[in-house]
Amino acid sequence: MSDRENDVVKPPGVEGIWVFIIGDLIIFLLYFLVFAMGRINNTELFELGRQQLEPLLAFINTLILLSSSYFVVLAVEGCRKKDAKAVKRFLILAIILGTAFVVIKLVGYSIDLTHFSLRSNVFFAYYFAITGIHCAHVIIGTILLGVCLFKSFKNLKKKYLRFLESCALFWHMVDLLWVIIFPMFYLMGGIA
Amino acid sequence: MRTFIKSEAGITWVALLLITCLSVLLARVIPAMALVTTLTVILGYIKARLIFINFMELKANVKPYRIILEIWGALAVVIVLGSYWISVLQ
Repeated sequence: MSDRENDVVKPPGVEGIWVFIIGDLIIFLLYFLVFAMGRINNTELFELGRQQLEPLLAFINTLILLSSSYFVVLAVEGCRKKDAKAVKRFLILAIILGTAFVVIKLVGYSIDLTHFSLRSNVFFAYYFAITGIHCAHVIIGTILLGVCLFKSFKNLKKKYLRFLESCALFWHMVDLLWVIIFPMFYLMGGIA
Repeated sequence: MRTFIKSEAGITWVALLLITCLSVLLARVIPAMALVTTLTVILGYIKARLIFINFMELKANVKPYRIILEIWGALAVVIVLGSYWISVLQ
């Protein structure tokens, strides 16, 4: 291994965002742990609950969130190349997809609430709590991307790049959480 | 646009979409099989790794953060699959 490969590379974004991201990921890990304990204690109830959830909208939302993350990567790349048009274009696309995720999630909730609610049983309490907190993260992330878009009209200096990278990291974290939440609630089938 | 898709991030994006489709397909076609369920969660873990390595730019030697996220991903899978297998074996 060369000396260059041994060098520790500086991560994107500001230091503080990494502290926040790691803290948030640990909190979600605790949510997963609480959900897992609930599953062990109420196996049949959790399986029945899962069967009542419709995975189609969640599947569409997964594709939407993954695509929006890709567009954010392209916006950051555009900023590094000082391509203001690319930054704006890809941020707009990411914001549209972020908004679409929230709208589809709310439509999903409105369908869910016709059959069950937060108080129906412990499975749905976890379902609404964990996906609801995640959805709040998506809303915050979309607002942050909106701020990035607004700031991109002024300049693309190094300070802006750091800010954009930090918001992008937050957005990718939201994506990271969803790829675990999605199979946990929608895809884990019971035993025949 | 074509050059963007040909980039490493573009390939990662296509891979993420394909893995998502594969995991949903598996879960729909064979819904009640423990090994398939295990595979769908592992596919989720692979997606998580692709995101933090290629999208969050931890592919390079960004040691503390890379190690923390690797541990986080592994713990998430152990918790989710561990509870599943415990409930299956009960």
